[in-house]
Amino acid sequence: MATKGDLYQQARSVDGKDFDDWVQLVQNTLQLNDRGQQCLTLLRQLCVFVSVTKYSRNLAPTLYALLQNVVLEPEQGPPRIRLMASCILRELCPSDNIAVKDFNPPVEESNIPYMLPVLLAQTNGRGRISQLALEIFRWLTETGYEEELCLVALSSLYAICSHKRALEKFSEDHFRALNLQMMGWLKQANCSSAQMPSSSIFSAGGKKQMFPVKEIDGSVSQNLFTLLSIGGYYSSDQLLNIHVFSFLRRWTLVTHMMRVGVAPSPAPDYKDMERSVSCQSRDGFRSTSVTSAFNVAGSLRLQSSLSNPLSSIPNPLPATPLGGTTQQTPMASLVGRARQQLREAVVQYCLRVLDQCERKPPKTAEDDLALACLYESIAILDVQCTVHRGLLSAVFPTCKKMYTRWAQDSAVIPNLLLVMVKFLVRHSDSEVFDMQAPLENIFGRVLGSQFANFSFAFDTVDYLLENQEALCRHSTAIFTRFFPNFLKILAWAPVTYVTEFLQLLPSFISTSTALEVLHSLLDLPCLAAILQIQQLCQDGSTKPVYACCMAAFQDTSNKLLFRHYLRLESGRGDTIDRLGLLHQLLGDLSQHPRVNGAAEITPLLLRVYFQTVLYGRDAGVISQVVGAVLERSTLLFAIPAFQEGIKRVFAEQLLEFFKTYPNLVVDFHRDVQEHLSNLRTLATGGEPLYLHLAWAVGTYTHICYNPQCTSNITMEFFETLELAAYEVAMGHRQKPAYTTRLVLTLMSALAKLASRSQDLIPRTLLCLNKLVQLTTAENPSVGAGASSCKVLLGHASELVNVLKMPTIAIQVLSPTPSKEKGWDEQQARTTRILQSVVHLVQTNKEHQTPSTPSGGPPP
Amino acid sequence: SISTKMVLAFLCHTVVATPCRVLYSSVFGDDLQQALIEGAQYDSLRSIRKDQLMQVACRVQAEFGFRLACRDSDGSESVLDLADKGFLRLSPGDPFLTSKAVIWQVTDSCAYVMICELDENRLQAESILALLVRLIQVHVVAGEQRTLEILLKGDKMAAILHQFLPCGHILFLNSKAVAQYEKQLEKLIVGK
Repeated sequence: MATKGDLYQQARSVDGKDFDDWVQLVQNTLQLNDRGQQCLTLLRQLCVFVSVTKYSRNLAPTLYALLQNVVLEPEQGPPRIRLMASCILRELCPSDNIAVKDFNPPVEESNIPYMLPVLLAQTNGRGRISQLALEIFRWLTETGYEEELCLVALSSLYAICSHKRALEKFSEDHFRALNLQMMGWLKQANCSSAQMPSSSIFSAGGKKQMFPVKEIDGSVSQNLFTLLSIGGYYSSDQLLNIHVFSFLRRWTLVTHMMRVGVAPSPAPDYKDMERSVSCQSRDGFRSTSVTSAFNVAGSLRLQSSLSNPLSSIPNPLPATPLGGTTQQTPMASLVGRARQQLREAVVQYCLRVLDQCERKPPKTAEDDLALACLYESIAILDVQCTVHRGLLSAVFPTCKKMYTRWAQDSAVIPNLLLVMVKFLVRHSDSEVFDMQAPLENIFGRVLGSQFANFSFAFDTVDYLLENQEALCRHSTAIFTRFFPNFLKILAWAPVTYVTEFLQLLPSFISTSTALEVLHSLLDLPCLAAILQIQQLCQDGSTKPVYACCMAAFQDTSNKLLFRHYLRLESGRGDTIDRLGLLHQLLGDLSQHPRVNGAAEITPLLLRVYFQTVLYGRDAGVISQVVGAVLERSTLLFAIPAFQEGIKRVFAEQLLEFFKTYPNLVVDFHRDVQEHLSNLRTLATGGEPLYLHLAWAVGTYTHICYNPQCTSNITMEFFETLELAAYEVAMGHRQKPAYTTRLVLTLMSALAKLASRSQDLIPRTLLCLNKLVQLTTAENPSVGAGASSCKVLLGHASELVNVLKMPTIAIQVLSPTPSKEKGWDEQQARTTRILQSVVHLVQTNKEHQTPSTPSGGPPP
Repeated sequence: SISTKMVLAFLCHTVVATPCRVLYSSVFGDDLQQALIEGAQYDSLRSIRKDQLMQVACRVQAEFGFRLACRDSDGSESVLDLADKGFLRLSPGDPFLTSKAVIWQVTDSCAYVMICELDENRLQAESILALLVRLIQVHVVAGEQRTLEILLKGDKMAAILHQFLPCGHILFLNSKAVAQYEKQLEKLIVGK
């Protein structure tokens, strides 16, 4: 048996003359009338040859024409041959060689369905899409076409109708006819059906006996036929009824958008729609006609069971015709009337489906379908009500009641609850409905237990993204309140949703939640681990490697600790007390793919977080964040790559913070000092952070950046850095070595502090000399060590020379920040001063053009 | 405001073999708008389409790989035979002009994928995908070469989609309608 790889490679490698000869054989076979097994085998092989490569096979135009004939023309063999030919043509799309000018004979009407997918795959860039739409219109509205063609035509229209050019040739009359046709399919499908024809040879011939269709519960249907009406063998009108249901939402949107002059888009832009609706109302909406329409097919059971007063529909909106003129032409009136009739039929149908689903027995063959139908019906009603607000008073109470019942029923799937919440929230303004409770329920309690439900997680993320702006505007504070819950989705499926959460994250951050969001992000791997243990406990896993974690999770003394991470709402902002302990407890899960996945994406999220905080320019928030960063840099879950990644982001971002808010260095002098005095912070990727902190201390410990900067603080910083510098210099030659860059930065920082507090100059000179001695003790004459010695010597001597002239030192090492002068100008000024210094002291020739005199990491 | 269709494409691809191989694909939609905006040559559109589908397939493969790795770590049996399903969101421009929803199901080390518009009814899309997989199992993958049959028996795949996902239209079929369509499908597949 060939493996897939083999077959792929084999098929790809067939080329050149061999392939051309083989194609000739296919062509010859197609030109014969034989449409048997050999033809099918050849076509199957052709399909493989074509589909395994993205490159063109340079097939002759004749072959395209032959395949097209096989698909469309009469007496070209059984459907499977046509399907195969259609499949190959579709695979070759888009191509200039495929063109259907018209569907006139010899094209056989019954074969058009095989060709439509090919036309759709031809792309609409060049296609004659509006022409195709007109053809489809003809097949749908004129009588005498085959059922199969009507059904596929409807599906094709569904596929193309949202294209901006598809319906450009449609006149009002086209829309009217189609709307009436659809209304007919919705309302007039036969309520009886024949038995499914038996495949047995003993089946009774003669006239088919008709039986009334049944409800899902088995009772005889007394009402309008819907897709949930159970029959035996469905007739074409019934199949059209079933097919048209999934067409309604799209059609409503597309026709509405065309009427208001907005090119249709795939995702309904409700904002635009509402705006357009509020400034125009095109159709008359007469309560009497709606009421009568609802009564046509017998009184709705829903109506009575939910005591929904449909007759209380408010006064019709003033009717204005298409085109925005106030005078209504007879045609516009007819068009409007057709639209209104369709709308009434749609609402009636959807309410009937809701009713059928509500009355469904607990377990039937149609369970999944009923859920999907409920979902679809609510979504259709939502679109209908958005387009025509007059419907709200009829629909809203029904939906509200359903929601109230569902909210207390744990058996209702969360996706359904969400689509209902969407409906209620969208129309809450019009109906004076408090949307707080449904939102709290769905994003609190429900999401808290359903974050691992892939389908619901997707729907939730989708809803949040599509409504991000609107939800941020609402006073419900969904994002800032429920982000701990939202983050569970991400922690559970980090690979799936990282892009989405990068987009959502800024909405989680407010002045009150900034700190909590930071901690939550840093703890994302912990959250993933906890959710994983929770799952393992629920599954009763017996894997020994997780036994300790599971025991810890179930231990009542740790309950509060874990509950904090599993919280539904925000509100606990600070570093939790026993974070170290938690990291220990979760240690066994540090290799779990879910935990690693969460750890990998955290640095990305952190970058977006810091950008958002910086953009907010709230000094209070930034101050809190800086404190937390310093605190958390040593309190991270024990995954080395994670720790390195986070510390790298911390280093970059702290530098940004300090550049923007230099006063923070002195404000946080205790934390900064603590960090700098502890050389263990240099472990696992901590050097960049340490280095940037040292640079910031050297540069910003200055009274002109913070009036609170006392000589004591400067002194304390100096002593800390001095001690650190000695330790680092001693460790410079050890393995793993501290980098030369770190020693240079510490030297510069010390010199800068000394330049401001001149009592420290002698001590600094001594220190610099000692540092040079220590770091260049072995003084290798070749290799990287030699060049680092050279750099250290050079830098130290620059600093020593500058410090020997205190008045110049303060100019060079501690330039006063100038608001008027830009960074470049300041640098130029410093360089000028330094050049004169160099000239003055006449240091050795190789240091005549010193680089980065102020030292440290170039920002 | 350029628009696309509801189910943009259906594809089947391998999930365990590397490189990922697309065994069957059917595009119903206007998937090439992004390429057209970027000024792609007409001749290159097919290859762009193939690349786009491959991009989606690779993402599904990665998703499934992650799922499998988690299951391995959890100590639950590594079950390739069980149906596994999931959802993905494709960001605008990556690779299609607008955001898309991807619904996938892995059965017998083959991924079955539907790329849909975001406003598609995903509950029903999921059901239809499961139905398509079941039918493919019955009519196509039954042979000895199993998933490879999907590549080799394009006509049967086309017949199943023709009947149950016509032009990418997700239908709401009740069990009786499904039974009726299955009979029609059998006629199509064996039809003389």
